[in-house]
Amino acid sequence: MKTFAPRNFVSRSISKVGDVILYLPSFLTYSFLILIPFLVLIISSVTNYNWTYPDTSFIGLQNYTTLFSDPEFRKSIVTTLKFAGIIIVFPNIAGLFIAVLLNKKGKLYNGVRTLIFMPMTLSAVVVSVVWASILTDNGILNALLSEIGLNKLTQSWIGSQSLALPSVAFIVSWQMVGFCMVIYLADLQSIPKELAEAAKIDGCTEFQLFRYVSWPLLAGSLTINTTVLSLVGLRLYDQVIVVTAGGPAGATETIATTMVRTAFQSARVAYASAMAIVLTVLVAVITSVLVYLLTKREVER
Amino acid sequence: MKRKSYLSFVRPALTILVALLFILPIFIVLINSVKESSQILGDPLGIPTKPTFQNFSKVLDPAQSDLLPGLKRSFIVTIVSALLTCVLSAGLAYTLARSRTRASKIFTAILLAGFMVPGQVLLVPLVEVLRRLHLLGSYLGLIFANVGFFLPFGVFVFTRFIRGISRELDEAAAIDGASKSRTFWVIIFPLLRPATASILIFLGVWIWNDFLAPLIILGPLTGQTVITGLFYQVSSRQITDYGTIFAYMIVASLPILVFFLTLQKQFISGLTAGATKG
Repeated sequence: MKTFAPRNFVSRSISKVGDVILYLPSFLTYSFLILIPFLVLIISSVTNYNWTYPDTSFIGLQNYTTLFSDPEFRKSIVTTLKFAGIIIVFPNIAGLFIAVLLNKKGKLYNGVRTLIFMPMTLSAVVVSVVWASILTDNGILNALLSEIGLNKLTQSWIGSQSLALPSVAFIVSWQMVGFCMVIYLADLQSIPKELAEAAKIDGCTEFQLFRYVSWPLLAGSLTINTTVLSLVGLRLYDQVIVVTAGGPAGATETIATTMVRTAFQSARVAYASAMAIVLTVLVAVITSVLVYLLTKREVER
Repeated sequence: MKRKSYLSFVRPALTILVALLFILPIFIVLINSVKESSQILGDPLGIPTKPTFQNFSKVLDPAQSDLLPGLKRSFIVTIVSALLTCVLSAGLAYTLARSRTRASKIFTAILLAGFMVPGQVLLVPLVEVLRRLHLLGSYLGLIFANVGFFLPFGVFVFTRFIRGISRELDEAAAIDGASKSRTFWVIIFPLLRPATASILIFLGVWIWNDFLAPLIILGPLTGQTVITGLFYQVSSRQITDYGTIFAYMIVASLPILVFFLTLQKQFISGLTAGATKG
């Protein structure tokens, strides 16, 4: 009979080593590259550590007090929250609408589903460059508007203080709609056909059908989409850097862009570490609150 | 039945309208990639009468553009990082899922909490570590960073799959005298194929498209991936040359689009299974 039992001392030791190899390399990689560095980050946020300045000493919470009295950083918190707000709401609504629209068999609907999901697989940089070429001052949208005689509607979409933020938020939303759609569709398709038919026989209109049959069953998808979108919105970096580089005049500067610039361009590591901690806490608090509220709502239904 | 026929007209019409918003940007990129730059600014939406492929021949010429070397670098970094992350996280997930010790529970919780920490935040101390290991500005450093970043995701997906596999299988193997690692690689890992597939698909897309980590870790002196290369193209100068940028972008995105279109079903089912059963 063939067994897996190791025959002698040497092969038994080898199999022990094998067991350790199962987890040790990944444990060490994670600990040394992520876990310990993150702890170091927390420590360095209470020092004056700087890549260009050799003497480091503890300065307590001074970085944090400077941070919160810094008008630029405070503005970046507000900007981040504005971005997150639009990015949580807009793709959720658009994704839900599109999911309901495309929840039907047929080549057209299948094809459009693939089309709308496709931007999700593209790099944020690619998507941003495309939209920047459309929205820039002498770009395609303005050219199109003046060509059809709507000169009045031409705008500095990404170059003006008031429009840059909504424009970048739109680009992110455009890319995320496909994700929300797929999640909503999965739930919509799990609704038994008999349920919808029974409701229709009872004289339900399409809207009532959606409101009272589908919508309550979509509570789980709403939680997932909102969580993912809030993570995307609060961490926003790539699209801002490519489309506006934080401008005009800091109007689209997020916590992430401010932090990365402080760390890697100004080399003020300790100060950037404090920003990093603030961002982490902000993401953790907002996401946890959202998840808590939404799952509570799921249970109540 | 009058209302029904009215509705059956509205749905396809709205569908096409929505589709237009997604087709238009793709259309703009495609038609303008075969135009000369002067034509693009004058008539951005016009269909070129004489399509020219000089934009493509320009970006595909290694003497004029870093695109082809960039593609090779992106392929190497993506494939090595994804495979390494997958193998490492599988073993770790198995150990954590099957262990009942307190330490493993705490470590699992830490891994999951790590999900919440934004990538940019981890990059600050990570760069410091890589610098001390003299790995900053190297592909090896980028690969290590990717493994660290994405390990929690792999562990998360594998753990849930492994919990669904009966412990009796492990126990039977143990009675036959198999070691843990042998049980895992010979018996459990083959059963995880759907999880492995979706992890590899997601890691492939994420790592290929990643922007900030390669930008910072590779730095300006090391050869770029296709995505950071695209960024340098658009940020280093005023864009007048949309034709070559669009051509560059098409070639840089083609591998990931082909990858997505061939594995679309697994991609979407991985996403919805991961999301809706969580």
